Amino acid sequence: MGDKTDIWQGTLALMVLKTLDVMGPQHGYGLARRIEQTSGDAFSVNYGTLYPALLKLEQEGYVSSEWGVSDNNRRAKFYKLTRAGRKQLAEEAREWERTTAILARFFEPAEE
Amino acid sequence: MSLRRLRALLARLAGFPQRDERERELAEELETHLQMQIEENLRAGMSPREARRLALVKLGGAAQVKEECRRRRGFPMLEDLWQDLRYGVRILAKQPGFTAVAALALGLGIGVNTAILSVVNGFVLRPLPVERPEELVVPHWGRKTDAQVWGEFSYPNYLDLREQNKSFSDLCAWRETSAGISSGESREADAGGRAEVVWGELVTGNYFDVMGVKPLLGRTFLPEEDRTPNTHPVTVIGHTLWQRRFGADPSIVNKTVYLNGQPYTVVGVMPESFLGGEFYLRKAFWVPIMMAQKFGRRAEWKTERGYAQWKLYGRLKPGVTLAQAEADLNLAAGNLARLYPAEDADTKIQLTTELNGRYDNATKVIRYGGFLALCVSGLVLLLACFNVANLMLARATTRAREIGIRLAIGASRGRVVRQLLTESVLLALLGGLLGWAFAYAGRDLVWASFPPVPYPISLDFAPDGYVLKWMMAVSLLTGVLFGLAPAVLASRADLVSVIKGEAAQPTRGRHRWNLRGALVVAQVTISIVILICAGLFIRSLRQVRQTDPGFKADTLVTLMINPRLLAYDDREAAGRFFPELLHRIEAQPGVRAAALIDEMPLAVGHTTRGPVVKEGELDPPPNQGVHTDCSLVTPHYFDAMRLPLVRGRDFDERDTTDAPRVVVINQEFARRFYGGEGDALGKRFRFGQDTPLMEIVGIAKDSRYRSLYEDAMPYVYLPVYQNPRAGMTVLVSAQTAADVPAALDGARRAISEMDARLPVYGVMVGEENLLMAYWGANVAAQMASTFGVLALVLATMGLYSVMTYDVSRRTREIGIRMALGAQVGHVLRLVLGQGVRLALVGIVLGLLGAFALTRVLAGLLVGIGTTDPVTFVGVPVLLVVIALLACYVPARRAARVDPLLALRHD
Repeated sequence: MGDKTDIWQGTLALMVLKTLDVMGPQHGYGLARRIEQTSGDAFSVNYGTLYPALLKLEQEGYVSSEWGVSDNNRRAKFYKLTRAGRKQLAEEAREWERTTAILARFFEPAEE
Repeated sequence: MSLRRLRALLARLAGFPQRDERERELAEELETHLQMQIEENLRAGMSPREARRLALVKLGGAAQVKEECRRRRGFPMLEDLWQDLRYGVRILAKQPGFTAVAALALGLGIGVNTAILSVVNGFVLRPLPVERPEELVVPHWGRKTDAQVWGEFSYPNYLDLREQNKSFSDLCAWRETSAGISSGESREADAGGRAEVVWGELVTGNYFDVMGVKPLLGRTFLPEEDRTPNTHPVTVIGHTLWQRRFGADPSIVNKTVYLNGQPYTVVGVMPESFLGGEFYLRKAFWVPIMMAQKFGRRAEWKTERGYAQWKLYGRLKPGVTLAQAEADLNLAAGNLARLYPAEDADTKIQLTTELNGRYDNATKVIRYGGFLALCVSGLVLLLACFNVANLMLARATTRAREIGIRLAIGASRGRVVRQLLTESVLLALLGGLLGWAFAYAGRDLVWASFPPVPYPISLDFAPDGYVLKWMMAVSLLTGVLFGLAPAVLASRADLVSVIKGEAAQPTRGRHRWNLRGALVVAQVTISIVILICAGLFIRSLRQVRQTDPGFKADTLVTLMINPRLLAYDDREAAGRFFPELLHRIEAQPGVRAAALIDEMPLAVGHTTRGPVVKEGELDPPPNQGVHTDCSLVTPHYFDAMRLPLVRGRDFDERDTTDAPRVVVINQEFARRFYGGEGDALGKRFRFGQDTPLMEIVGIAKDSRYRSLYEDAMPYVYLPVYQNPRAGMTVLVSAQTAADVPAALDGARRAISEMDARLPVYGVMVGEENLLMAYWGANVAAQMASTFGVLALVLATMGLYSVMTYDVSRRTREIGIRMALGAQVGHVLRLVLGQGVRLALVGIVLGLLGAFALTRVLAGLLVGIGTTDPVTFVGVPVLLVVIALLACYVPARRAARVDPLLALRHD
């Protein structure tokens, strides 16, 4: 797998929320794989970043979790977006767009 | 804190109890994750081994994730603390001897401080137990021309102030009064038990609202009961009286009690927490102020503006400051001064809170004494701290290896210091707990040291929340104080040598020994200072006890009566009641003589009259001239007191209101005013315009009147039969000390035969009559000796533990010395010499300190100089002996060391 870009901590939470929003309830492994795929395998998600981030989101009330059974019949913990999480996602997405839009202006070719 | 952080915190708190389960869940989750990754790798065509290896590489260490989540889930600081606490408890439990000694030392130190603080708290810090006591203020009345203020107002002035002020939600008036309480009306018998004197208050109708207190049973006073004099005999009674005299009768409301022989209807009962208007007296009843005349007030009390009899309490409106309220009241007082210049000219009003108002009274003494006691008990606590610090230092050296290993495997120094501090704070809290128990037990001792006064004193010396708060703080502080230096020193360990086990060598850590030596010196110094103070106070008490009061108390019985409580007027009491009563008492078995005096000398109060104007002289200008103490007595007083008359005669039955006025003076009066005893007899003088000319018919021997240490002072005895007064103390002199109980019974019987309703109070037997005189010296000596014993115990413990420890560390050295031929005596001298040197340094420093301190105490010591040689020589000698003993035991042990064993030591 080689060297993959480390995920910028602050953005992982946003990626988790967005992925849960798109895919519905997911277990940790599914989330990790999905984030890696979406990033075009630019990221490698390991335990060390994912689970503390999930715990933090759960403590803040943006995701909730419950035990369920995975596709291949394994007991797994499924994470689901809460209403507060959905609101938070919308807010952070807006904030993100604003930031990128501003940054983008710096990199646009200067208009004569 | 943002909402998000708060929510996270709450989630942490909520999740705290199921931490173990959460951890299992996380482990399972991580395992699932790993398995899924392996399956994926397998599907990609890897061998099982390779699939597992790569999955592990990719996902990283599970342990770190678990740790990270654990920290995130819990409270790491708290968990460290919890860990330290558990470890601390284990360590302390493992060394019960050390723990017990240290906790005991701290317990004694903290206990003595708690006890003293509780007493000070009871007197000057604990607010009156009413609603929002901080709003309750006391107006004082005075003249602008004069710095002095009084607590009392006349009723008309009170009404005007109440009406005109805008600062108080209400202002009430009250006054304490005593009353005889009985269950019957007849003079012959009292069916409901013995009559007794109780204290109560005359109060305006709004008093209970101002105090913010609701009755436990029944009601308080109605508006109509607060309107017309003498028409509504109703009373609210106190909880204690209700319990004691009425057996907590739940149907007491509407029953009748007799106050001063008059029937009153009980309308309510106060809750137990309510004392009344004074913080130190528990009141038994309250009656409407309108009944004032029945409790000895003049008939004109309601209308006469100059008759200042009433104390006030005001409750401030919310937001009004003391200064605003005072300005407001003075505005009203200014109006009064204009309208009624005769009585109210130049009136000024001062406001204090109830708590601050106390400082101006007798509590000053308590405050001063309490402060002194707190200083000394602070020294005792410091002594205990040094003691424990020394023990901790010694222990830190033996624990050096444990600490070294902790440091070696990566604990930070801060973490080690924190852990050691946790231990010492734990120890201090243990000491605090013990101290608390000591102080609680000591409460009774404090009470026992109180003089017997005929009042229902109610001071709560139990440590309360305020004291608890302070003592917690003091415990924590001491924990840090004695724990910090040893902890820091221990954490500075040199790792290599520590782990190699060299720290146990006495040659190393030289400065550590010096610190411990310094601590021992400090302990000896402090205990010398405390012991010398103690010695001085004890010697001073002995001196006081040897002072001759001028009369003989051993066969004396005194009882107080006040026929006026039963509406006898002064004239009737003095004219018929008293002569008959004394006659009957003298007929009782065992009685040698009986007499009356208004107030016993060397007791609570004294009366001063003047100016003394000799016959043929003019009155001196106002506020000049000489005043003198005096008492009212009956015939046989001098006989009953066994106070000799040096010249002239005693009063007798002929000295009545119709006969010429006579007095007896003391020798000092004769010397002061007539230049000697010979010339005084037969001369006449008067007290200004107060009395007509009075002829001196006798001269009594000088005695002590106000206190045992006063200089000779002039004194005048007036016959009560010419100066009628009803409230008197009955003096009965028994034939012998063995007859005292019989004489007391006889006196009681005689009084009850005269009028069964008449309560007897303030009974004192024999030497009890001098308790008040000895009280101050007694309390000082008791406290000083308690401190002294504590100091001695702590210093001995300190010396002993340090010497023992030092010897045990030098076992090998001593063994070598002995192997090389040192004699037992030599070793003994070596060890003893070291200990005694420390003690001597401490003693010299202590003596210097004591010399300085005793200058301050000069005013409190009686009859001995502040450099009393007995104390200043005796105390150091005592300490040297104790130091020798404390060193001897370990020295003896050292000398018995078997060189072979010693060399193998450690």
